[in-house]
Amino acid sequence: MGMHGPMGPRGGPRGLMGKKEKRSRPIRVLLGRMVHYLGNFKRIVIIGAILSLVATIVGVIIPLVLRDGINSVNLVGSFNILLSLTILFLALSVVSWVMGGVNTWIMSIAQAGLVQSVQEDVYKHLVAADLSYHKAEQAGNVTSRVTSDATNLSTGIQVLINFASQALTLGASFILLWLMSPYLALTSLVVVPGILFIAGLFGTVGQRIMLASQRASGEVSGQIAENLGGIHVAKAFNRETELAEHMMSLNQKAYKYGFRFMILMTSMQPLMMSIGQFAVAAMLFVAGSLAVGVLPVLSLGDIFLAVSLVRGIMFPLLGLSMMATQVQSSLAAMDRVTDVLESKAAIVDASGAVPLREESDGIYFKNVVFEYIKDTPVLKNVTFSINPGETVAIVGHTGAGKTTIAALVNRFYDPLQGGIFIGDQNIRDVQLHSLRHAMSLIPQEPYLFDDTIMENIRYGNVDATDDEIIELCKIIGANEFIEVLANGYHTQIIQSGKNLSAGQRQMVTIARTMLANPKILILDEATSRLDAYSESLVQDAQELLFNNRTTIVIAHRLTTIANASRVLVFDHGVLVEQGTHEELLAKDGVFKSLYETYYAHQGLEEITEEVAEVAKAVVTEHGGEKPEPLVPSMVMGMGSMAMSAMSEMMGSHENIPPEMLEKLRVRLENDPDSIPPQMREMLQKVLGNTKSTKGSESGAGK
Amino acid sequence: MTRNKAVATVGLTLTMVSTLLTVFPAVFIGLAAREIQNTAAMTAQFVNYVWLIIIFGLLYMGLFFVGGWVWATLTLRWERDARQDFFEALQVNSMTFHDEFDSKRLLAVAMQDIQWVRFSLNPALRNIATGLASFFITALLLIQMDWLPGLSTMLTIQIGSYAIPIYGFTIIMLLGFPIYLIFSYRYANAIEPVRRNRSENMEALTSITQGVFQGIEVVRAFDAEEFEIKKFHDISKSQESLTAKEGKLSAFYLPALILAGMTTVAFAYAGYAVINGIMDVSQLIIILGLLTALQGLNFQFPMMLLILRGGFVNAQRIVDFLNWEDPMTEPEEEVLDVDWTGDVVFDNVSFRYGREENNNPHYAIRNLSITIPGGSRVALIGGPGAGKSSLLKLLLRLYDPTEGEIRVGGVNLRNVSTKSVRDVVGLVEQDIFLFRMTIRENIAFGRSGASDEEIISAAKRAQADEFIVEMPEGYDSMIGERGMTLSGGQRQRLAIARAMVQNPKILLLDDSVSAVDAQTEYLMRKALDEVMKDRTSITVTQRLRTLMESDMVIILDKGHLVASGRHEDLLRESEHYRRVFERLPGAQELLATISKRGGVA
Repeated sequence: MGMHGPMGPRGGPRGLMGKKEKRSRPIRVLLGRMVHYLGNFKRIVIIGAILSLVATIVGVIIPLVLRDGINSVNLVGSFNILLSLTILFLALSVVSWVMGGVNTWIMSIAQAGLVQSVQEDVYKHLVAADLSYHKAEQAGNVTSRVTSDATNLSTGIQVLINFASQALTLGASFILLWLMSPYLALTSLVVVPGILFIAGLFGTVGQRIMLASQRASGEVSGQIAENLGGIHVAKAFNRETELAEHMMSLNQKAYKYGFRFMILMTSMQPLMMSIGQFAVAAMLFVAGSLAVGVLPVLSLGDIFLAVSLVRGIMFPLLGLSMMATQVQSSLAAMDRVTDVLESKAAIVDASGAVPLREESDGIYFKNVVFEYIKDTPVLKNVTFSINPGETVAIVGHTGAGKTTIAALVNRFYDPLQGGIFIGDQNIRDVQLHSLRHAMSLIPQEPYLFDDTIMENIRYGNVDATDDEIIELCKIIGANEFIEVLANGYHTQIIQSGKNLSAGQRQMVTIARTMLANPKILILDEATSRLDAYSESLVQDAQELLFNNRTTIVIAHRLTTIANASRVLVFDHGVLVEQGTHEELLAKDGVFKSLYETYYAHQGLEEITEEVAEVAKAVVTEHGGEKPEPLVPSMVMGMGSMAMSAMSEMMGSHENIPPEMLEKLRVRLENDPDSIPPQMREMLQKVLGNTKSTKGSESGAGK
Repeated sequence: MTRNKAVATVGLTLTMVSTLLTVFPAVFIGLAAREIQNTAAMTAQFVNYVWLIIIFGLLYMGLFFVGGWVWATLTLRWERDARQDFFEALQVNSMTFHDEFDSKRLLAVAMQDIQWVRFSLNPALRNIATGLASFFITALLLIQMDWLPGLSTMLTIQIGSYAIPIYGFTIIMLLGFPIYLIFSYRYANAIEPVRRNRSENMEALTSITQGVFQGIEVVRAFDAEEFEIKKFHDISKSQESLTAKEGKLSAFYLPALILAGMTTVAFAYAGYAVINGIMDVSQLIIILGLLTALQGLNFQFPMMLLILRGGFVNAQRIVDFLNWEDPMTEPEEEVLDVDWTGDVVFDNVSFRYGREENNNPHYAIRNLSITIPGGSRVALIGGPGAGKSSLLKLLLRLYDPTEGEIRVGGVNLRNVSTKSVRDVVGLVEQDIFLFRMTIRENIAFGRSGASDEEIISAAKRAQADEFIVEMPEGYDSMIGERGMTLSGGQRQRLAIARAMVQNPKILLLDDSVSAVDAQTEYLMRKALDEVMKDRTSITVTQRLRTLMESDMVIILDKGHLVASGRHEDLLRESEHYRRVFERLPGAQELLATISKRGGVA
């Protein structure tokens, strides 16, 4: 029943992406890589191999001793021989036990070390990988590169090591039988069809049933996760009973599939045992007929040995036939890991990169062109300057390129053409480390680690003391809500912050950034999730702390725009207007329309039907409000639910980063079978949509 | 339950009986060997033994399968029901419980721990039972050999004039068997904690890794790569050492040696007896056959013991959650006759999160006393941590006040069951939560048995109908997974529709929306106006209009009531309110026009 495996994550979040993809490298290369990793443990592996060789040989010899014992008492009847055989038997048993034990022990050391070194290698690579890689992959998938792939790899190596000893046992047993009589050896082959049957059964039907059962239990898990996430709603509307009933139906389904799987597993044992017994019967019959007659070929002890050796044939054979799938999956893991290790980050320090100079300040874009996907420029020849100490607001519809600007300034990506300068230093020639030290980005989605609030804030500056952090929180008004939490500053953030409101999460990220005390600040709609009152408090604090600091704000609120010294207006990747709020309004251009759609009503102004209609038209044209994921952060956290998280993302296709979409598109073209049918459909729809909007745009152009 | 026990017994008996069938072939082999020794020919009897082995094999397959079937049904049913019960128990627990525990952890218990308990029953317990059975049967078969004539007098201990016979096999089995078991148990006992440690460490490693990759932008932005790599290095190193430690402990399964010792002694003893002519060689073959067959146990037994041992810990974890004591209790005798349209009174209410025994020193609400007249529109305002949402949650009886009491129509909410309270109090929360169901079902979530007309009319009044009918499948469009995703404004309107279907007497709204476009705002205002009609409503808001149109504005700060009253009065009387008000978008212009008008008049 080894299939149930030991404790620990079973399989882990493998998600959609990694599972069925075809291997891109030949087996030879992958095996070579595995061996290479094992190379670091050369001595241990060699010792282990020798030990396991000896243990195997001893294991084969032991029945021989018993056979001789039986023959000697039967035919010779000498006490001395019996005594020496007894001692020999005991000694061999002990030797085999010790050898086997030591072998397992040191191999586990090698294996643990190997997994650790692979994990760390992969982890380092991934942490340094380009942001575009991370955007194109789900976090759960990336994690499984580090966790389950490394484990898979080590299982594969374990299997390869076992392979030697299994094959040896098999070979030695067969040869022994052959030496006794070729008939016996041939008789032992009766187990082969049985073994093939078992292996075939589990490879085909078994796999299917197992997958179905996993899926059903994944549904249960997903439903529990969702219901726990919405427990306050269920309570508020008294709907616990209905949810429990729904749960029961899923549970029942999981039971049904689980039952099939278990029956399969349960039938494996009697099948194996029975096949063993049939083989024993066959062996007994053949051995018996060889032991009779005038010139018996075999003695009674030989019969005993022949029957014992059947096991030596059967179990290794079974093991070997089951190995194929495991080796397959670990080769695939090696392949994926190799992908990671061989990929080179595009964003690295240029040779001769220098630190960002103290006096370099201000942000200057010169003819910047950028695209995530080839031939789909997101920024088109953008030039602007933000002088040291200036606060500039960026406005524009969804997809105008606002967030891209923030990412480029941080050098998460490099522009295709043109350059970005801090002071007079091109950021391509600046050490990444010093660049990121000098600036802070407060991203759109506040992200918190599952640690205490204190540690989350300290992330901005690891040297900050508790008192400094509390002091800072007092200034920005975060102290008030943090203090009333169950454990104050030591409250553990759970599930990326489900125990805080969106605004509170945002406050923590703001505190974190303020603690970092950067020279340049980029706020990507950072306060949009705060309510107006809290936002004004934060703005006051910013005023206090970030006064005279170069700041880019991707603006969402009227007040932000009004307070900025200049406003840059973007439309479809082009900087179309710039100037102060008043100047731009007077222009009666793109900004005016934006203003009326998004900002004007934030005051007391009565919205008339007419204004609403105009706004609607404008918004529809530009794709409208951003849809939000249904269950933020909750679903993503669940490894077992990578699948549903994936389809979640598919639903809100506006939320799929363009990189991921592109990757999926390529995959859809090259290897459509690797995507489940319903996803394929969805994907085609999404991709079709983007095409048709493009089509209608060009149509409008005519 | 008794029926289950009976079925369990049947299942277990069947599997154990089937074990009998696996032990006996060793005997048949010996008997067949004797046949050959005696006759030196292939007799019919010999062939019969061969057939017996085959028949026993088939019988075993059948019996074991039936036993396994029964056992599988039973344990999987248990698993299903345990999971369902666990989920329902969680659902019933108050919000204090859900604040206290990460739902990822709860999910892990509901899925993994329950599964591991089931593993410990099936296959672990089943396998251990069959293992013990084969041990037991082997022991019986060997011990009965001691009664072979002459064997008991082969070796004797001479004490004085008495010759005490030695029952060799009895001694071997009765000594060896318990020792084998004791060492197996100790083996499992030593490894289990390490293994558990390792799997917990692995969970931590996974969660840290995932956290970093999810927040990779933050890691980058704060230049914390080195820090994170160091952190990972530490945890993966400790994973390595735990794995190696487990490997070391599990490499040496001492019981295997004990079994080998038993075989050795039996071999010597039986061999001696054969040489003395007391036993024949076929009996020696039987004995060796039986004992070598037991060696199969060395592979299964330790693994299964580990699972069984681990199952106890898992079960303990489940029980701990189930035994969590809920600070919130339902009234023993509920007051049914409550005037929900009456005044809502907070009488010196203080509240803090967490259970009493956790001793959270911080109050979310402190000494709050206020009377909200029935049927009035109330606006609630204050900064983060002011206690606004805590106040709403108390009114829903998601929590009970730590001190003081809340009365509606003169009845203390504690004396009304949570179910009744939530029937009449409605909520539109800030972070709208919708379920992965159709739009229709999500709206109908407000009240079970809502008719289609009610749903559509609610959607219309909440200004949601418009966007719903534009969807490909209208009201039957799925939300979320494999379905439509909605914008924030749309979600809020759906939540309002949901509350309208419920038609509560008291409506709680958390309307701290982020900036939206003019049309969305326009629709939202209309929807809010609709939903507040004809009921007491309490709205957390920053909208100037809502503040001005409210019958009462309550302003909170750090859990204290700062002031309450009508907007105009507060503006005049409360310094604090003025400060807050001034900060809201558009307020400056408004104040300017007021003062201008005032100047003219």
